[in-house]
Amino acid sequence: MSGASTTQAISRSFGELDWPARIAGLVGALSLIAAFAAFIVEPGAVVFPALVFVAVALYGWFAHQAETARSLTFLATASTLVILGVITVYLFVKAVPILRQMGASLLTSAVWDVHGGRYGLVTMMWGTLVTTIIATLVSAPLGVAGAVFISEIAPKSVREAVKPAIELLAGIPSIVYGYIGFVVINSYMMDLFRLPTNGSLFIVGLVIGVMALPTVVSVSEDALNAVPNAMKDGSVALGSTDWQTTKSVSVPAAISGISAAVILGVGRALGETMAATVILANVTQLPEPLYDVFGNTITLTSAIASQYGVAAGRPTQLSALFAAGVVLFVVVLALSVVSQTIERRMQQTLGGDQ
Amino acid sequence: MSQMETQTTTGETEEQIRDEWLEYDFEGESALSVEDLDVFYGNDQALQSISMDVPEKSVTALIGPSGCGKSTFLRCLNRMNDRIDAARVEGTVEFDGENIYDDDVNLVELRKRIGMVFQSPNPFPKSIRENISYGPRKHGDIDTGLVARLLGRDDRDEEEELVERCLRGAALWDEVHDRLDDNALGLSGGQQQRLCIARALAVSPDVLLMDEPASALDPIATSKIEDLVEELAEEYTVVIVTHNMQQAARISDQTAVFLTGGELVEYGDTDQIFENPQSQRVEDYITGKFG
Repeated sequence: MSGASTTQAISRSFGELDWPARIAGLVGALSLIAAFAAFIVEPGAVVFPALVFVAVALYGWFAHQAETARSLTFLATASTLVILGVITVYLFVKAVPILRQMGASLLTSAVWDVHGGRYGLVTMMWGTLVTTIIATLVSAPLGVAGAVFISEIAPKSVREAVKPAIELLAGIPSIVYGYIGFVVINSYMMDLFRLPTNGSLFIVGLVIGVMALPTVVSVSEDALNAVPNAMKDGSVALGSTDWQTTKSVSVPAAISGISAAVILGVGRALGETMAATVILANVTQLPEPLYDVFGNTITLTSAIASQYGVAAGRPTQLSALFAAGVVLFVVVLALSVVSQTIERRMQQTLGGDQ
Repeated sequence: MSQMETQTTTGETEEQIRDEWLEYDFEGESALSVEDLDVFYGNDQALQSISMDVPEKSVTALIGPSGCGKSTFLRCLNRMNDRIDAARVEGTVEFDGENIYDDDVNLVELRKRIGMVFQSPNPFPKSIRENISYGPRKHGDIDTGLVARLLGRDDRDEEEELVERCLRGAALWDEVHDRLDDNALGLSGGQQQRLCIARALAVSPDVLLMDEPASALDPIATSKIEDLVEELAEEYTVVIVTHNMQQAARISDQTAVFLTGGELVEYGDTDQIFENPQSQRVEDYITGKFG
C-alpha cells in the first residue's frame, strides 16, 4: 500500500532530523491526539492542544519546510479518508435499529406509518426510480446529441465558447432549478394538463434531467475527444463523409465513455434533493395508479430533507431515514464504480495502439 | 555562373534548385500532375512551389529529412490537409483530367479513388471483416443490414468475396482467415498495417498514398509491407513517403527528394537519384552528411 510507504517515508525523514525537530514532531503528534481526546471528553479544552499543534506546524514550516509539508499534506489526506469513513460507518450504524425492527420488509413494504412506528422504503424508492428514469430520458439523448455536436460538428470557435458555457450550468445552485421548476414549469403544466395537485414526478424528473445535462455533455464530449484523430482520418480517407465517420467510428469508439457519462448523470439525478423537495408535495404514498408520472409522491432524498425535523423525537423514524440514506449511498456508489470501470476500460482499449 | 551557387551570409554554400533536376521523363501516363503547389500553415510556408508528375502503376518514393514537408505533400494529394484548420493550399493537382482543388470536386469520390495508409496503423475498433467492408458499406456498395435484407437485398456473399480478395491483396489472408470476426485491435502492428492497406484496397482506388507505412513496425513486418508495395504497383499507383533511404531504394521506381524548408530538390529515376544525384545537397543527404 502507498499509505504504508508514505508512513515509512515520513519516519525515515524523521530519523534524519536533528533533535529539536524530532521533539517538535513528537509534540505535534501528541497535541493532535490530545486535541481529539479533548474533543470527546471536554470540547472546551480543544483550543489548547490545537494551539500547540499550530505552533509546532509554524516552527516546522520555517525550520524544516519540506518535512513539514510532507507531514501536513499526509495528515490532510488521512483526515479526509478518516472523516469519510466515520460518516459511512455512522450512516450504517444508525440504520441498524430499523433494519432489526422491520427486517426485509424495510425494503419490500410501502407502509410509512409514523404513529404505528412501521416503516418501509418502497414508496420513496419508487419515487426515486421514476424521477431518475424520467431524468435519464431527458438528459441522455439531449446530452449525448449535444456532445456529438460540440465535439464533432461545431467549428472550433463555437466549441471553445459553448463547452465552458455548458459546464457553467453545473454551477447553478440546485435550489434555483427547483424553484424555477416549481414556479414556472409546475404552474404551466397544471394549466396545460388540468392537473388536480401541485407538483409531480414528471416535473421533478424533467428538472433533474436538465440539471444532469452538463455532466452528461461534458463527460461524453471528453470521451468523443479521446477517440484518436488518426482513427477518424482513416475513415475520412476511405471516402466516408464527416457524419458517417462520427456515426460509425467516433461514437462507437467512445460508446463506453458515453455510457459512463450517462451513468454519472443518473447518479447525479439519484442524489438530487432540492428539486424534489421543493416541487413534490412529499406525501408518503405511492401514486395511484403506480405509473402515474403526474402523480405526487416522495423520493429517498426528499423524504430525508422533508422529515428529519419532524422525526427528531422518534428514533425509529430517524433510523428509517438513515436507512433511506444507506440505500442511496449504496446505489450511487455502485453507479460510480461502474462508470469508472467503463471509462478505464475504454482508455485501455483505445490506448493500446497509440 | 556555371555552378549556380551563391554565398550565404553564414559562409556556407547554398545551392539553387535547378529545373533540370526536376525534369523526369517517363514512359506512359501520369496519374497525378502537381503544378506550383504551395502549402502554408498559418504564416509558415511548408511547401514551396512543388511541381511533379507521378507516373501511373509504379512506386514513387518521397524522401527527405524530418520537417521537409513530404508528408504534407502526400496529404495534399487526397486533400486530407483540408482537415487541418490552419492549412492553406495553393496551386493545382491534376487527377484524371481534373484539378482536385476545384470548388466542385466531390471529396468523397476523390478519396475513394485516392486511398491512404497512415504512419501508425489505425484500424477501427471493429472486427477484421467490418474493417474491410467499412468503405464499401459507406458508399452503399455493400449492404447486409436488416432493412436491406427485408427488401430482398443481401450482400453477404459479396462481402465475403470482397474481404477475401482484399486480405489476399494485402498478404494477410493466410494469417487471419480463421478469425475474421475478431477485433482488429488484437492484431500485431504489422498485421494491423496490412489490414489498413486491405481496407484501402476495398474501395478500389487508383492511387494509394502511404505515409511512412512501416515506420512503426519491426524489420520482419517492414519487409512484408515492402514486398506488398512492390506487388501493389502492378495494379495501383503508389506514392510512398519514407525516411528510410534503403527502403526507397529497394522498392521505388522513381524518387523525389525534399529538403528542409519544403523544397523539392531533385526528382528522377530511383537508381539515378541514389547512384548519381545531380544536386550536391541531395548527394550530401543520401550519403548521410546531413539530415
